[in-house]
Amino acid sequence: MIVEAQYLLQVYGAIKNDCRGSEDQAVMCFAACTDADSVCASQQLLNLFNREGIYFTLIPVDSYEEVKAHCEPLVQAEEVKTVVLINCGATDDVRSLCELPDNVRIVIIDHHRPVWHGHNVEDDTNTLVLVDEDDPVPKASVPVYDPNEQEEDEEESGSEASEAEEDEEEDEEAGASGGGDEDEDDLGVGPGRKRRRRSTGAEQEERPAKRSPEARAQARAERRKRAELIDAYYSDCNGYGKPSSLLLFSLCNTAQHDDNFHLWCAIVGLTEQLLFHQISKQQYNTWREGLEQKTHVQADPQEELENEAANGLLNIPRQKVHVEPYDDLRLTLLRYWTIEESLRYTGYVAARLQTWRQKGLDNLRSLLTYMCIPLKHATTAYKGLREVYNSQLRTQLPRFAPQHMLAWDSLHLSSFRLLYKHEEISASDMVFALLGLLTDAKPKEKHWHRTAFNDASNALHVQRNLNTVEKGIDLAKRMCSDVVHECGLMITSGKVKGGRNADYRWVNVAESNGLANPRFTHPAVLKYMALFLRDATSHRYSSNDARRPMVVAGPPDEDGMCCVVAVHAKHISGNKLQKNPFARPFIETASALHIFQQKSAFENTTFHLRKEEVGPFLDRLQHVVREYTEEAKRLEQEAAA
Amino acid sequence: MSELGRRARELLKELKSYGPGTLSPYNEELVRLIFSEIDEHNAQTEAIVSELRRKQAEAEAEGATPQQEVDEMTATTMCLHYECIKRNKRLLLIYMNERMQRLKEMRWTLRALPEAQKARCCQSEIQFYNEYSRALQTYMSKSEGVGMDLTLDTRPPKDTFVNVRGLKDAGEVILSYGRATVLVGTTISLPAEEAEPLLRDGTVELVDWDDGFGRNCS
Repeated sequence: MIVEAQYLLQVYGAIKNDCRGSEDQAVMCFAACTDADSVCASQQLLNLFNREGIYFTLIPVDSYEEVKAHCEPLVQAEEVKTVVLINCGATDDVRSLCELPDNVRIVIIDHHRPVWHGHNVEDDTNTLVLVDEDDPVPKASVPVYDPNEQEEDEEESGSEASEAEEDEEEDEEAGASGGGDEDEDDLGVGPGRKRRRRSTGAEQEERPAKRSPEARAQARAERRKRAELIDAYYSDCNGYGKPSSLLLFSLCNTAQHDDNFHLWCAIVGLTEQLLFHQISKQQYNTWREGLEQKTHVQADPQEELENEAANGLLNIPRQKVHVEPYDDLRLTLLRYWTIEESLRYTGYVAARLQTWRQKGLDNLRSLLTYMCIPLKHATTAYKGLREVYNSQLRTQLPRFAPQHMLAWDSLHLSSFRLLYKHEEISASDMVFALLGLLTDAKPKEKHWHRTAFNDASNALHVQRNLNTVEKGIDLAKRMCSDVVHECGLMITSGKVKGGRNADYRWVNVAESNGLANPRFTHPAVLKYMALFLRDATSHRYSSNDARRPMVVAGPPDEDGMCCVVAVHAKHISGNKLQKNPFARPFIETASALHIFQQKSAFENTTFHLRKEEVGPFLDRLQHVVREYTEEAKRLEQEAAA
Repeated sequence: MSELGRRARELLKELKSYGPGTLSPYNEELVRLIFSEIDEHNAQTEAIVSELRRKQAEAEAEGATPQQEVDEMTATTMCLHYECIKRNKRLLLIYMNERMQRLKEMRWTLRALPEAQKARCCQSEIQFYNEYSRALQTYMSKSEGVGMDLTLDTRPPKDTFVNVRGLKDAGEVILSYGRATVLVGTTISLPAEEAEPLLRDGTVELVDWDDGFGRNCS
């Protein structure tokens, strides 16, 4: 069942009742270990569990295969048990995949879209997917699942031989035009998808008597319409919904457990989605305003008065963590770099000015000169700079950025910062710190992704682990500089394929110097690279319409698996879903080449392939995307006519 | 010169090679040799001092003004002997102190001195252990002390629950509230008294998290 936010407290109550009434009282939690939102959401949930005395086990996972392996002991379980999935499980039939019985309740808090429509069953209280009303893909958009639909299909197709042939022909037509479930079955895609049972002769003899031709035609028309509806849903709703940490913050709020920690987690989860272009700026601002009100509620007025009184003379370290709204510059890790380095390695600036080239560096220095920031100070660590240069940067950048092809709107955002003792950490810095820790690949360690997830979890607890935050920031700096250098090299040496008018552009990192960098095997880093390459390649062409989607294939990891990711071309304004058009093409390409994923990612536009499969996959993908493009043009022409 | 303090250094290296939770056999022979080295240095120093006094007395007897200053070589030699004595003394004290700390640690973690460790102690150390154990027992007793067994927990518990993280793949463990699978990198919440044996044998480590940054609302 898809559950809306107003029932969150009831879902939480159900979890508590299950635990207390069962012999096995622990809640089993799986958290996807690929993004900062998972880290934040898991910390909020575990904090709630700790306060309420609920036992839990948290396992960071990076594929459905891992979830299935850990769920094996539950297959034969007889006690009532709750399994919570954070940022995984919404897009697939997890219960079938893990073969879990009905006494195991599954609660899914996942920002990946589309939600598998099989979850949308009103009377199924054993599988709960939490989707808020203001989600870009709300519950109303999800087609209702009809478990009887498949049986009706088989009755209809098995009545008589000739009618069965007619039905099959019509089913094939529907399949060619993009019917939903049938198409998915025909593609034979990954685990968890429904499989159509083949009717046998014995079953045909048991079929009921045939209906009248009109009734059959009407039923076929309805089925076709429903198939088109489902097909449209899966084609158009690939992207990201509301951050899980923001959803859980509303639960904390309702349960009166909202405090600065949960608020900070929600802020970090939301900021990550903006930085990775998973939501629009308008959507970000809508949700940000709600969080901003909460910061005022959480502020300690007595401490604020004391700080104001003292700050005229001394910089008193804050003894309590304080979160406040803050107008931040969108310069990556500015406080931990020099001004020049931050400008040079910020993805947006690097893509526009091409700072991996000497000419780009000259443009950058020209910008600094216009802003009257001497190079000597621009290359000094930011924390050691005099305050005058900080204010110089903030006042002059909006004035001179447009002259250097930089839009001021893309260089600042209304955000938040955390203040504790003498430290100040902005939300975007925290996102990068967590990503730096999550993507610190250690190929020689078997479950390094769990260690990385745990380090990132510890980093959120800034009162005890400021050193972990600093470590994450160092790793993030290396990640950003590696991405700019390697991607710049790929662009200069012509490794990025697809020209000005291509349907999309792509690159295989294994064919470049990035092969040796273990960080480039991580999906989050590859997504960051894809966004950078998308923007950088589009600026090489002078036309306004030069931006194209980007596909990046990473180098092989320690198991010989390569990760392929895709990002959308353009930002869609308004509170709409940022649609990624590659979900269906990826599935179709894999099906055409009979590629079976040994490691299924939680996102539809991330695939893990063996390294020998990458080349054929990228080649075949071009044909599949071309077919989709031509089909889309044909439909547009028909609609116009 | 490298011979100076060599024996004391070897003594400490031997203790270090045995790791933090165990004791090396008490090296009585080496300790005795270090004491004799100290006596030797002391004797050398006294010889120099008595020579100086003898010269002073002769000068006074002849009516000449006795020399107040000592020549450089003599001064250096005396300093060297004195520093060697101090160094040997310091290293011996470090040795004794480290062994004492390990005995105390064993009392807290193992709650009894294993026979294997007892065989490695000298008589004074066994006596020290017994007296320390008696003092601790008195402190924990109901009649004269706090009335709690403080050695039950490796760290003072702040809550009845603790969060722990797996360091080894220990498989499924049966707990009072159900089952939990301990794997590398998994985080588990469990009662503090049930976590204690897992913490002691290194299967899990304690996870220290803030509780929501503290509530700041007044």
